[in-house]
Amino acid sequence: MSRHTRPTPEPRRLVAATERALGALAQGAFRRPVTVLLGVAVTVGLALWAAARLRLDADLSRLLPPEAESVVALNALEARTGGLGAVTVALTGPEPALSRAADTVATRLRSVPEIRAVDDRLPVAWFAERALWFAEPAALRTLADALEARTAHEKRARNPLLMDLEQTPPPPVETAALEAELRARLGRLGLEPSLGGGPDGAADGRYRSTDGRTLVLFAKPTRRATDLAFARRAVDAVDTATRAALADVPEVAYALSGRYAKRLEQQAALSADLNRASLWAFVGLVAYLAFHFRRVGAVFQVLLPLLVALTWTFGFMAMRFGTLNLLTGMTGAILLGLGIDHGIHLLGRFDAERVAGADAATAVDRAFGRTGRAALAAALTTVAGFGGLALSSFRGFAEFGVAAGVGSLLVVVSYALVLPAVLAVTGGRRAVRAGRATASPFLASLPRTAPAVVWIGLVLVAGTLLTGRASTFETDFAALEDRGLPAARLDAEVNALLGHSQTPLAALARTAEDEAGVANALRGAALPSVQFVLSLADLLPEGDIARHEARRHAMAALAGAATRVPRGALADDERARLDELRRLTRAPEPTRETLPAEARARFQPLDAPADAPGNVLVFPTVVQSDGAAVSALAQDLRGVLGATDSRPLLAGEALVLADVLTTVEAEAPRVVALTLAIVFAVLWLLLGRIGPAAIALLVAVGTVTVSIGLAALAGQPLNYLNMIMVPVLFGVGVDAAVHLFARLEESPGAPLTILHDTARAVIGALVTTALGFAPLLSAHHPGLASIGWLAVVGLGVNLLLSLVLLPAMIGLRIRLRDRPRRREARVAGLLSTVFGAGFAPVAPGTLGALVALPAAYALSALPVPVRAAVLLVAAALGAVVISRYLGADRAADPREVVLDETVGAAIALAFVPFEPRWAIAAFLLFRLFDVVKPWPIGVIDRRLHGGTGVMLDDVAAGLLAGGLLLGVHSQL
Amino acid sequence: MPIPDHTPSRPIQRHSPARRVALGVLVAIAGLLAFGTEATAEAADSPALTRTEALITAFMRVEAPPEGAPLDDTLRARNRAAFTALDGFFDRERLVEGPITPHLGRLTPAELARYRTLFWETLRTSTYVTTGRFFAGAKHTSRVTRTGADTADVDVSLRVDAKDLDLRITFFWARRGTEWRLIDLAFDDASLVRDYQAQFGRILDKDGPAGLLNKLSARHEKEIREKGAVP
Repeated sequence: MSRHTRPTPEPRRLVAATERALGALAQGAFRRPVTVLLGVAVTVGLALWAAARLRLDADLSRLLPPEAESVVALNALEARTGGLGAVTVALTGPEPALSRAADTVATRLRSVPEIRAVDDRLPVAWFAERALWFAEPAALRTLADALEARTAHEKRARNPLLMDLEQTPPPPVETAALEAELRARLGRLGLEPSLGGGPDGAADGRYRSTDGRTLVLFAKPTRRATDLAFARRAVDAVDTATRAALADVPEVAYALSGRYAKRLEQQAALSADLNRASLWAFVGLVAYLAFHFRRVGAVFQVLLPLLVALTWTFGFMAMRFGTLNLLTGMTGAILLGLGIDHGIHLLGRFDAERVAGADAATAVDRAFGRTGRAALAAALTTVAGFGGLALSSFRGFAEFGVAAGVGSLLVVVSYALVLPAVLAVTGGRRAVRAGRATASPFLASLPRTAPAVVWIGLVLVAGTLLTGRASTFETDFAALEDRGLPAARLDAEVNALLGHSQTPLAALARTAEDEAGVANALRGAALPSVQFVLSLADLLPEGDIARHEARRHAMAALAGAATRVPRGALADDERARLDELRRLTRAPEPTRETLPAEARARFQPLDAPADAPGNVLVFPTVVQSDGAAVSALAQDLRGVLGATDSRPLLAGEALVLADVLTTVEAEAPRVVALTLAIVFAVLWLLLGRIGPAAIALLVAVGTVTVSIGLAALAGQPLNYLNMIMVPVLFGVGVDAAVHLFARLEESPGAPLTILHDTARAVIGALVTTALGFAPLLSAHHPGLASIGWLAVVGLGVNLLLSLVLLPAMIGLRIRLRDRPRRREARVAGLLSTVFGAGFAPVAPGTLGALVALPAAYALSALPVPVRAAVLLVAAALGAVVISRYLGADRAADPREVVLDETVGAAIALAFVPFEPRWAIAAFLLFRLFDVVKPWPIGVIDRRLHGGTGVMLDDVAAGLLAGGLLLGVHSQL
Repeated sequence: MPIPDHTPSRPIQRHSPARRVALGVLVAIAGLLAFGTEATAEAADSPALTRTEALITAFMRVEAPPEGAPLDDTLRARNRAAFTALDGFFDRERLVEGPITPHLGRLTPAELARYRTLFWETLRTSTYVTTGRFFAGAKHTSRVTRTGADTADVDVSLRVDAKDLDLRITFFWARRGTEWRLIDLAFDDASLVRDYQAQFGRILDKDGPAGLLNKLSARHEKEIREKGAVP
C-alpha cells in the first residue's frame, strides 16, 4: 500500500471551495481571537437568554401533529374533565383516627385549585339505598309475588278452622336471586349492595386495604400528567394540603402515588442518574482528553466550542419551538457525542501539523481547511441524516431532525470559529511534543491481509445481521422505569386494591343519550383486552321509558306486598330481610340529577349540567405503558366506536403512545430509506467519489446493524430510549471514514502514516463519546442503563470497524485499483475475484467459498426451483465473466479467480437447510471435493478449460457435496 | 255462593222531565227500601251478625288448659257442653260434603262413610280449642256485608297484635229452618271449603283415598293426644 503510485485526483471544486472557506474562517478567528471570542460571548449570552425560557414538555402528544386523532381526543378530554389519572394519597394508621383523617384530607384537597375533584369513597350507601331501582321489573314482580304468597300462607296458617294436612312449609322471604342480579348489575361499578345487614367497617365505600390500616384517596387534577410542570405543582399542592391536614394526627402517615407522582418520581430518578452519569462522564472526558493530547489545555480547547455550540442550539430551539419534547430533549446528549469527535480530529490535526513543523497559522489553515472539510462533511452527513427526519410528518421526528441538524452545523461552525480563537489565546503558540510516527503491525500487514480481513469481516457482519433478526423491541415503557421506587410500588398496591387500573381510557360520548349506546357497543364487542366499561348511564336504572314505567309499577307492587307480609309471623332473619326490603322500597328513584357528586365526577365535571354528556370509561386489561398492546387495543376500540352512530372520540394518554408507535412504524421505512439516500448523496458530494462514499456508508450501517445484532445475542432488547443511540452510532460511524478518506486524498503517498494518525484521532473520538455514555451503565433507571449498554457496545463495534475493517477496505480498494491486469476487464476482474477476495494471501478459494455464506442464507428463503434457477444463472454468468477476465489465456486458472468457489459453495449450501451444522458440513465437504477433485470433478477440471472449465468443476463439487448431504439429511 | 240478581225488574216509562225526576226519586227510595240491607250491610240487629258474635263467644267458652294438660271432670263436662253448643252453629252436611264433592268418584262408599265421620271429628277436635284461643288473642269488629233471603255474610276484622296480623274473616251463613248455620268461612277471601277441596285433591292425587283417610286419622289422634281440652 505504501507503494501506491496513482496520481492524486483533483478535489472537486466544491471540496476545494469548502476547504478555502473553512480555512479562511479559522484563519480570521486565529488572527482576531479577542474580537471573535467577544462576538461569540455576545451570541452565547443571547442564546442563554432565549434558552432560559425553554422547558421540557414530556407530553407524548407533542410528538404528534395537533390534528392527530389521539391528540384531538386528549385535548377534548382535558377540556371536558381534566386529566384522567390522579394524585393518589395513601393514609396509614389505626381506626378511627384513620377515617377521620381521611375526611379532613379530602376536605382540604377539595380546596386545592389544581384539583378538580376528590374521590375518597365510592357512594356505596347511596347505591345500596336505591339498589332495588337497579333490578329488572320482572325480578321485582317475582319478589312481590313471593311476598304475597308468604302473606297468604301466614293468613291461612292463622285460620284456626283450617287443618293443614299437607304441612305446607311457608314460602320464604327470599332475596338471594334479586341480590345476585343486583350484584351483577352494580358489581360493574364496584358497588356491591347488601340487602341484608347494615353498613359495617368495610361497607362505607372507602378505598381500604384488606388489613384496614390503609385508606386511599384520589385527587383528580385539572390538567393531565404529561405536563410535568403542572404535575409538579399539583403533587406539591396535594402534598402540602395533606401534610397540613395530618398535622394534628401523628398516628396517621401518608404517601403519594398515582400517575402524577410517579412521573415526577421517575423524572427525579432519571435526573439523579443523569447528573451522576454526567459528572462521571465529564471527569472521564477531561481525563481522557488530557491524556489523549498530553496537555490539560486541550480539554478546554475541545470542550469550549462544543459548549458554545450547545448553547446556540438550545437558543435556536427556544426561538423555533419554545419547548423541548421527549426527542429534542435528547439533542444535547447527541450533539455532545457527535460533536466532540470534530474537536478531537481538528485539534489532533492541528497538533500533528505542529509536530510536523508547521507554524501555528499554517497548522490552523491545514487543520481547519482540510480536516475541517472532513468535519464539515461528517457534520453535513449527520445533518442530512437528521434532515431526513425533518421531512417526516411525525412531529417528534421533524422537530428532532431540525434541532439536531442545525445543532450539528453549529458545532462545526463553533469549532471553526471558537477553536482557532482559543488556540490563538491559549495553546496555539505553544510548542507541542512530538508523537509516535510508526505504523502498527496490523496496519503494516494490510497490503497482504486486506482481502481476507475485508471478507471475513463482512461475513461476520452478515452473521450478526442474522442474529439481529432475532432482536426484540421492548414496547413497554414501564420496563424502562425503575419499578422499585416508592410511588411505583405504592401504585401497584393501589391497583391491586382497586382491582383495576387507576387510569381508564375514555370514549367521549357526544350526548348524554349516547352514553348507554356507546358503553353497550363496547361491552358487546367483548374484547379480551377490556376488563370492563363504565358510563354515567350505568349508574342509573337502565331501559327505555316503558321499562322505567314498568319498574315503577313493580316497585309499587313490591312496596305493597312488603307492607302486607305479617312481620310478626316471620323468623328473625326473614324479618330482618323484610325490614330491609320495606326500607329499600321507600327509596326515591335515582336520577341523573340526584347522583352523588363523587359518582358524577368520574364522568363529567361537577359544574356541568346533569344532561351534559359524560365520558364512557374503558378499563383495559392490558398494561397501558405497553405501546404494542395499547396499539392493538386502540385499533380494536376505534373499530367498535367507529361502527356506532355517534362515532365518539377515544381519549387517553396511552392512545397517544399508540399513535406515536403507529406513526413511527409507518414513517420509519421511508425515513430510513430517505436518510440513507441523502447521507449517501452528501458523502458522495463532499468526498468527491462514489467509492469512499459507499465505504463510509457501509461502515456506518455496519456499526448500527452489528450493534443491534450483538444486542440480540446478549438478550438486550431495543427500546424507546436506547433507540436514540442509532443516529448517534450512525453519525459516529461515518466520521472515521470521512476523516480517513479526506486525509488519504490530501496525502495519497503515505497511507500508512495517515491511517496511523487518523486511527489515533478515531480512537480518541470514540473513546470520548464512549466515556460520555458509559457512566449510564451504572444508572438505576433501566432505560438509561440500556442506552449506556448500546452506546458502549456500538462504539466498540464502530472502533473495530473503523480501525480494522475500514483500513482493510481502503487497502483492498487500492489493491484492486492498482492490480496489473487489463483495464478493459476491470469489472470482470472485480467479479471474478469476488471484489478482491481472491487476492487473499492464503486460501483464497476458501475465502471465496466463505463469501457464499451470506448469499446462501439469502437464497434459503426462496423456493427450491427459484434457488436452482438463480444458481444456474449465476454459474452461467460466472463462466462468462471468468472467460472475459482470462481473455486469451484460456488454459489458466488463476489463483485470484474465486467466483467459481463462491458459486460452487452456494450450490452445496442450497441443498440443505441453512442451519449451523448443515452449513458447516456443506462448506467443508465442498472445499474437500474442490481440493481433492474426485471423479467426475477431476475429469471436468482436466478436460474443460476457459471460464466454463473453471466454473464447472466447482459446480460439480457443489452438486456432489450438496447431493450427498441431502441424502444424509433425508435419512435423518 | 249464589249472588242475588239486583237488577230492577220493571222498565222505566217515558214521562215529562219534572215527572221523570220525581219518579226517579221515588224509584230510588223504593230501591233503597227494597234492597237496603244489601247496600248498607250494617244491620245491628241482623240475626247473622248476632249469630256470628254468638259463635265467637261459643268458641271462647271452650276451656283451654295449659299445653297438653288434661281437663278435670268439671271442665271436661263444660267443654263437652261447649262443643255441643258449637256443633249447633255449623251446617255439618255442607261443611263435610263441600270439601269432598269434587272428588266423590275417587272414594268407595265405605271410604266415603269413613271420611264423613273422620273429617267431622277431626275438624271438631282440631279447631274448636284453637279457634277459641285465636279469638281470645285478637280484637275484632264485625259487620254484615250481604244479606239474602236465606243467606248472610258477616265480615269480622281482626287484629292479632302478637302476630302483627290483620285478618278479615267472612262468615257465610245459611238459614236451615229457623236456625242460621255456618256453611263456610273465608280468611281474606280464601274459602275454607275450597281450601279443603284443593288439599284433598292433592292428597288423593299423591296418596289415594287411603292416604287421605290416614292423614285425617293421624291428625285426629294427634289432636286428641296433644289437646287436653278435647272432651
